[in-house]
Amino acid sequence: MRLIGVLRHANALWLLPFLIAVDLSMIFLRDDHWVGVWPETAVAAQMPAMFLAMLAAAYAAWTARREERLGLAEQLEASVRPRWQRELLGVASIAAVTVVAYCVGFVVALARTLPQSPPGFSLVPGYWLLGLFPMLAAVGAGWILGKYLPSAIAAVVAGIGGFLAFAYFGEIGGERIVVISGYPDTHVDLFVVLTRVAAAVALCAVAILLPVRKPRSLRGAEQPSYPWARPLVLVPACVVVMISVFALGRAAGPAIAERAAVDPLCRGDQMKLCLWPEHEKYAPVVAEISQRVEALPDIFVREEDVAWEYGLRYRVDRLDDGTVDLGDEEQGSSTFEIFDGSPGAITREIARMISWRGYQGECAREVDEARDVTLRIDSWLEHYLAGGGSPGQIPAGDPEVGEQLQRGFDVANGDLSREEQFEWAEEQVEEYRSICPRDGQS
Amino acid sequence: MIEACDLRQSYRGRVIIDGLSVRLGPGIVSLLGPNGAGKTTLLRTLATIKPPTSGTFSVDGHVIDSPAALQQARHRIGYLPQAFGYDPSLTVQDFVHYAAWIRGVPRQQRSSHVASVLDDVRLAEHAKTKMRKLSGGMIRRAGIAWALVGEPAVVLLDEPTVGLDPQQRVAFREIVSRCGQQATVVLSTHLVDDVDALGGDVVVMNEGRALFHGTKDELAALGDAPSTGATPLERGYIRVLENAEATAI
Amino acid sequence: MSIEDLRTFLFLRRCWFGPVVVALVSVVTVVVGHHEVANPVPIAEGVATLPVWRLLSLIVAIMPAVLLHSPLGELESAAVREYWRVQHLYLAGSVVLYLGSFTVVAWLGLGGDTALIALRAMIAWLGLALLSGRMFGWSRSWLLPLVSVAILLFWGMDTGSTYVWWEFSARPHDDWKSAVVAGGLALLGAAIYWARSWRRHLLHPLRRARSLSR
Repeated sequence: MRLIGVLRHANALWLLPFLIAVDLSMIFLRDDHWVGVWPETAVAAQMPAMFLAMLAAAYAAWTARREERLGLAEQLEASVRPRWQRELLGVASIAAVTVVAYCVGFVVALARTLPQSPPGFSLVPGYWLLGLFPMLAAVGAGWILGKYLPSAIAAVVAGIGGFLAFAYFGEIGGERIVVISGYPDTHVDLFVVLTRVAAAVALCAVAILLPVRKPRSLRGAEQPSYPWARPLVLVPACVVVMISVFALGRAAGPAIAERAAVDPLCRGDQMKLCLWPEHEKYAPVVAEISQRVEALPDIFVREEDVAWEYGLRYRVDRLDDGTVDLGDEEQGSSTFEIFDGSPGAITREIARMISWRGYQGECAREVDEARDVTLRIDSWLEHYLAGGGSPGQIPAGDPEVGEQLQRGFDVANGDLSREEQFEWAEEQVEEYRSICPRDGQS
Repeated sequence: MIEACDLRQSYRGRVIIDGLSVRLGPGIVSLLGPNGAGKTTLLRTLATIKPPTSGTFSVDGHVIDSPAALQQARHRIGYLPQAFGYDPSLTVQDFVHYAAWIRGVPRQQRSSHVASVLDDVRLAEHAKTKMRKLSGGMIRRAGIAWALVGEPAVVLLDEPTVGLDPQQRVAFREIVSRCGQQATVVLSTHLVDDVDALGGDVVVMNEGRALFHGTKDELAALGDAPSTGATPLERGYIRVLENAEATAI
Repeated sequence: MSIEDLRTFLFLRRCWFGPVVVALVSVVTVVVGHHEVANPVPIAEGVATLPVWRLLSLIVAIMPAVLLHSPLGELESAAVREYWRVQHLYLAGSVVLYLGSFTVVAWLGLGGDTALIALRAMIAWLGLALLSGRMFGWSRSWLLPLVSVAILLFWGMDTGSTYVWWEFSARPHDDWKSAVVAGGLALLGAAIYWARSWRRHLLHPLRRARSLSR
């Protein structure tokens, strides 16, 4: 049967424009920092997969007993095609519509990054495959629920339950059903993800083969209500396959694995900042930051220095919530990370690194007054390195912390000349040293 | 009796009933016409399922122009769609009793009305039978009981003879004839046989308009001239449709 | 209305599913409602999370609308006022029973603030369910609420990890803007539920004027 025929079946084709609209909205109507970086582009296009899965699960649950709802059960019971073939068509059509919508979003997102042709396209297919699993598994699970619960209740339980299950076993469960950041220091393990997809296909097979209770009018003495014989063999077989395949994938390691370091892309002379090549887009911003770092008073900068984007030289465990705990030793090393692509996010990391290497020590964590000074200096550094000139308010949070951050922010974005800012910064460092005389002499 | 005045009905921009003005009843009125003529839409409109796009109609002289008039009309109308829903787990009696309540039959009279109408449609002995155990013809008769319960002044039946065998159709005609003596029965059909057997008035419809309104004998008289069709009534019906086509050209 | 007609009315709507589903969801809410699960949306740092009870309350919220579905369809459309009165009472009773009992359970299991947020969210979702049911049929009442979940989860939190003003399922219990949104959705749903086709027809200003002048 042709693709369009499959899509038309189960009345699923009407769903396609709706799912495409949802998918494209989620890709384009939040932010666009991902444009120009292949792994970030792929992750942005993969992120709607959980939401498409939720809608697909609900629709699969709603459709599972459509034949019965439309009063077609009797005439289809007499058809040449066995029930499993008709169900296969139903499951395949919903899966196809969902995957087609997902692919459309993917292609459009890739087309957005293509003109900049950055390196690292090889990271894209892995993320594409990663998004397939929740959608296919959701269709299978939704179909199963739809077979045994009233359609309307099954639809909402499948949609909400499916989302909660994926969310639970996702980031927090450590399985990474979908990811929200395409860090260049990681890649998707294709073997693990392929085993997941295979397990999802097996779940769909179970959904199709599970016996369904026939309407009373179709139950006869010679024909049992539950045609158990075949499913009794096939369903356990599929379940075993599904669990084995999934277990195989888990045994093979995490879906998101660390990448080996590659030749970095470095900018700057005295203060060299090195990026993953996939982050080529940030090279001009990083070059400007490097120049501003080089212009800083001596108290902040060593004569020759190199800082590395996370994963190029140093690596520690990434925490469950996605952040990186560099630890005391690593904070002293020259590592920064680009979180969401904004210059602010880059300079925040570099400011922290410069502070640590220039003057800061353990005292900043132990003495409140020292902490306040470092907050002011870090805030000033972050905004000075970003170029300043953007007056405003620091987002509200802890009022005490916010006050210190705002003071640094105001210096960087106020009317002070560069030299006056440097003077202010040196005074702050002096104040820090008066509180913590033996700290920060690295 | 029902009186429609310049009634229009459209669906998604397509005109289904086009300025129909007609007086139906008392007695039996058959709506005759090809598929897509607008018969079902007219019946749904008269049954107050879908308000008309424009125009008005009245039931027993009461124009439906206020919520109170609408309620009044609904007490008087019994309606059976061509494909009607039912719950297979309900007994025939529950099904019809529920219809009596839906129609606002007073509580103390409901049981007697149900018993009477089940007797009329010859389902009294199946009153306690579940709907799923009924044959196709019996389900159709249960549907007719739904429409007739409470002795409504107007009974609207959409293609009621579809799926009935000849014996059941004869029985059905008896029921309708009896009912037609007290109420206005408007039924749609595309079977000329039904019209012939039921008598009463005939409205020939096509493309949302009434092409002919008269007795069956007047329609048959149009078929005296040589034309396609096996009976005078069939020939008359074909002649009306052909005349309309010729006029349109 | 006799007992047997009421029984038939309730039977046709499979009314027993409501208490069963609400009871099950309530139990699950008490047991795992406070668990935080990952919400896969990008925020400035880390991963956004949401408590399980937030989504479970949606299942309860749509029950009154979903259980209005009857297999008789058009046969009931031309019913007299008494039938509609019973349907309105049935809907109101379901709303009070299901939403009320879930709120009480949430209050006891998860605390007063959480229960109030859940109630606000359920009121909003009920409005969307009524709107959805009137547009697509009562058995499809889940459609718009489910779509709204995708919108709330994906766009309801800005990159600074703050819930936007219209996020009625997560803003603090005393937030008035999201309460207005929830109330507005509930009113919209109630208005659409009330405005059956004949009501719209008869209350059309022009027709009304013409009728009164007659």
